[in-house]
Amino acid sequence: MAETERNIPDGYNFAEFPVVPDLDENIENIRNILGGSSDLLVNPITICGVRAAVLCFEGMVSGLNTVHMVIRPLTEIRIENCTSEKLFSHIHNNMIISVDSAVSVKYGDIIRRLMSGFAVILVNGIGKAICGGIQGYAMRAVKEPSTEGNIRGAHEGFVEIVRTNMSLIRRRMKTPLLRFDLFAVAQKSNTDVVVCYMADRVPPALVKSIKKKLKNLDLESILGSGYIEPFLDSGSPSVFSGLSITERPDVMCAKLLEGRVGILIEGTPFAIVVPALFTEHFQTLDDYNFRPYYAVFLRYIRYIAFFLAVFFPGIYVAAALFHPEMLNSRLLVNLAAAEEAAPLSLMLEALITLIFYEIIREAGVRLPKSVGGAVSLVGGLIIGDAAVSAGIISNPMLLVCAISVTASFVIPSLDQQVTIFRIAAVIIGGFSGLFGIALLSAVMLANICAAENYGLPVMAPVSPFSSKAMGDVAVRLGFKKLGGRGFTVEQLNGAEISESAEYELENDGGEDHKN
Amino acid sequence: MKNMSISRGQAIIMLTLFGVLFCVLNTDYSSMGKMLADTAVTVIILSVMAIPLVILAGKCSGTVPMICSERLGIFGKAADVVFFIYFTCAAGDVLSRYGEFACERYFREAVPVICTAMLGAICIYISHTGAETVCRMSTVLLIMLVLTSAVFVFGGADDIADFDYSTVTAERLSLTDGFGGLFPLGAAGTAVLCILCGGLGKKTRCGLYAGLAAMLTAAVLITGAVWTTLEGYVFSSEYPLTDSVIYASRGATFRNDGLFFSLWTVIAAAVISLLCACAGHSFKCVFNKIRYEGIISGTAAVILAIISIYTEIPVCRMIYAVPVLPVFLVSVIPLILLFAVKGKENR
Amino acid sequence: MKSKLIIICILSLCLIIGLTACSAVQVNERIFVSLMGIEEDNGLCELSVQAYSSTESGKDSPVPKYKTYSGKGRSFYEAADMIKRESGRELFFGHCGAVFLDDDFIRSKDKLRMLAGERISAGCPVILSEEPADEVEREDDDDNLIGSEVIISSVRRYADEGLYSEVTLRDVTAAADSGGIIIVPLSDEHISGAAAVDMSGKTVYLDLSETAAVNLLRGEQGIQMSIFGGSLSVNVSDMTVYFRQDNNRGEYSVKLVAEGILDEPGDSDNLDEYRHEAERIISGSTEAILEKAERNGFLSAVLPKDYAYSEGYENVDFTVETILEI
Repeated sequence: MAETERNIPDGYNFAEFPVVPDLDENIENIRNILGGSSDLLVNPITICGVRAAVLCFEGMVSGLNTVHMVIRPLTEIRIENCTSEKLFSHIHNNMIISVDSAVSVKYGDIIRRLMSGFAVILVNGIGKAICGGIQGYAMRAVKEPSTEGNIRGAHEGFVEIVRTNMSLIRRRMKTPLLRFDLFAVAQKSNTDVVVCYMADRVPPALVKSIKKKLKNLDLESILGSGYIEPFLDSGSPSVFSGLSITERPDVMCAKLLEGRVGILIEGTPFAIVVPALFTEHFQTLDDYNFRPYYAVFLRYIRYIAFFLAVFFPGIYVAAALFHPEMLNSRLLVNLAAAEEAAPLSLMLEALITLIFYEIIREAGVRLPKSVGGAVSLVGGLIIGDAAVSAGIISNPMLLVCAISVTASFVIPSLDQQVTIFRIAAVIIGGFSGLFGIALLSAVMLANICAAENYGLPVMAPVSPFSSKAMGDVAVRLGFKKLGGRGFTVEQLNGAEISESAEYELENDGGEDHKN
Repeated sequence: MKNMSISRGQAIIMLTLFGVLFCVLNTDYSSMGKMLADTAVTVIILSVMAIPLVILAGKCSGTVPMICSERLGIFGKAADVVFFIYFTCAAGDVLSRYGEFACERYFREAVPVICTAMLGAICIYISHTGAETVCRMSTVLLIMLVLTSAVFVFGGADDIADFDYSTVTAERLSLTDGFGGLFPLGAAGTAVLCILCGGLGKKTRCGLYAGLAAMLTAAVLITGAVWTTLEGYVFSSEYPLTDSVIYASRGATFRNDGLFFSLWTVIAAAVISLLCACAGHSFKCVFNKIRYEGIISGTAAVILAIISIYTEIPVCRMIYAVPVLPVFLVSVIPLILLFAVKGKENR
Repeated sequence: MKSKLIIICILSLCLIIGLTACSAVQVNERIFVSLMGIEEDNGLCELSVQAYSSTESGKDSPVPKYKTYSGKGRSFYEAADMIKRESGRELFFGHCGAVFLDDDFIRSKDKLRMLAGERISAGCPVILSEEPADEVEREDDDDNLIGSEVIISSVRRYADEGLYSEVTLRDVTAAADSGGIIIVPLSDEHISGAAAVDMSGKTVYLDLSETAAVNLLRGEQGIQMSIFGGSLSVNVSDMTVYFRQDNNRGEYSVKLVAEGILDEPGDSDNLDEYRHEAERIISGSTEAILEKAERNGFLSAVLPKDYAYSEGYENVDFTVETILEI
């Protein structure tokens, strides 16, 4: 009995078990692996006297396509003196049941394909199965991404299906040098992950390193891009990430052309791009659709917005508490008059205002869309106005925080960092004035400058300076100059994207790494 | 060892920042002619001092402490210890002086020890990230420096134009005049090249001399700006550069010296961190298995700075401002190493 | 180990920052001084300040309102402390628009350095007054305090008209350090001229027109000033103006003397121009000279040559001359 038990695959131990010739045993084994899960559909069929079965998961395959492309063709097979081998050979060689079909010999592969929307054909007497992709699960249509709006670019964004995303990229880059490498990661979820790159642009060491990291992921499931980001990011404790996230296929193509690697993940529309530079957070696709002078203007607006978003409330608190000589005297008089009625200190006012804003923002995201409008009404009009009327918060403080928060909307990709640093700036400014804020900015600058990802400094091309690349940072050169540069990140000063660099990193465990 | 790929431009900018920091902390702006002449003589002395270092950097790869410990045995280790002490004292002195300046002018609510400790804590973190990080910061600092200088010139243009330049006369100097003023901090900046040469290699010569020229230019321009703005008031002012910035902004809608102070604080953090990183590197050359050498050297600098402030005895300055020490480190040791290298080649 | 180290570092930093703590002074707990008057009398220092009143100013008020505070002490700091104790607020001098000082204070470099230490900008205008404390408390016809903006604008207006140059704390401190003479605007309920203050102890008071003439000459390079007897002498290479006030001799005279070396082409044209300009300024105030002479009991007055008068001054004999030496 024990011996028999050891040979039966189950939900924990099935991947390497081979498919057996006996049809009933195969079906029994598959049911056993799935624990009798009720969404498994088994359709037994007899073809020319040979017993067979079509298995699929309910809701994962298109019922209509399964009938038209699999079951009906199978029922129309006519083979004289049909045997199991003849039947299997006929189905495998003479029929095309799907554009994506394969032969599986192990239960691990069969289960994975069943769960990926494949129909599996088992023939009695054959220790193999034919799998055909007939995906028909419900999926979202391609539409404009919610997080990366633009004016003149495409209105298409990635979806949750990785194969659709691949097609969105392939349509834009019709070159054989665009490569996709698909594999499954995570022990329980077996999530499909695609590594995409341009073979003539990307450093081979980078692709190799990323693939190695993905294959060695020690995760049970991947339900979002955030699950694998820490594994792809460098080991440095940097607040600013060396990866970027995008929902747009056009942005992904632009980054692939610069010699980066994109990672598409099944189940999430957010793709990861590695490596990323800090200056890219201030670039949008619209910059390349507008005239250069306007694009430059917008870019500097973003730089100023970043500064305002992080430092404005902190500088205001610091100047008012410690350095009033720096404020204009009329402004100071108005400020003092406004603060006369407020019961709290300036620093506490700022913190309360910012925290209230975070609460309202979080509520707006979590609320159902139908009542989302109520959040802005309650938050903006009632709380804001009432707080000022009640004298809890002063008008200047509300204005300063509103400007800072609005400025942070300009660079949504840095939202996390901006929020944390903004609150830190208020606290430090409230305790130690401009001196503390200067120290905080030194820490921020050092943190960004120290960050490296796969041998590429995050602060490039500002530092290490690269005059060629600055044409797309300090200004936005016209396409006549920008278009034909063939620029890749590997050309940036200070970039050391090499296999040996990564190897040293991994072997040292990051100890001697800069961070 | 932490990897160091420093560019020539970054080395030049770092030396310029040393010059700027000297001008910020300098309390003695004597006659303009004498100040300019002192500064020029200092830079000439430093340029001559650094000749052996430049030749060594062209022949050998690696930093001077590294080469010392590899080639000179126990004497090399002793030299590395001297490097460590020198850089730590330099960092401690700048830290204590800047902490006092910040407390006195911009943060009166605290005491100098607290300001020093805060700045020191930040410098410990930055030095832990390595000299390369500090050099990368320098590019951003240069951009900010140029912008703030434009603000200053714009605000003080009237004073600069109205200054009576005929009062600037040549002063008679002696050789020892070049060892005051800019010399301690300038020599520390030159000594930093003993470490940065590991990343610069053959570009050390260009980086060093261009850097010293940039340091001289910065000191001259700032001295000129201070004098043209404040004129005779420099003798009454404790921190003339700060007062000149305040004076230049008197016509503006608001006083913008806070902007300058913030920039100077980041520059001070960068300079101190670089000195601590160099001290840490020297320390690691002696004790190879040590980790977190930047933190150790930074902590030592902070402790020395706090002792200096608390006891009112400039402990650090007494060690690092002595001209003999940088001459020994920048000239004598590289010269000895050149002979050692040559001897090995002949054999 | 590494994460423990990071936690220790962050906690230490928080501790250090927290130690600075709570020492911030709220905006509404400060008195923002806009005008200040300091005088010393018999070893007692009286400090009067005019400050923005935050309770009366604000969004409903189109112009800022002011309040005055005053305190006395043995030194400036004691006087400031007294104000702080009485009002319960910290004095903040960073926004001080102008400072009224008496001529003893202006001569004292230690006292001037004290002001510099109080975060007062070196560019703050200085005005001389015999009663600085009263200047701060002056009111207009509607019994409103005359604010610093009004005073500064009148100082700047006269400076723009070329009547004198604005004098700042920087200039006064530099003069106190180096010695020499400085021309400081003078206020006696309004800007009434200037005073030539010699750091060695003498002061000569000038009315507006005299100030204008001195300022005209000060615009030239290589100016030298000296006070000898009761006279201020302003010399440039080609012109000397004497303003002599000598009560002992009972004589008040204004002489215009131009002297120069005519070896450069155009010098004579320039001399004429200077002469005409100075004469124009001085002749405009000849009535004032006569009034002053009569008021002070002078016996004679010498007036510029273009003087034309319609009334005589019985107690003063006057002659008209212009001395031109080339």
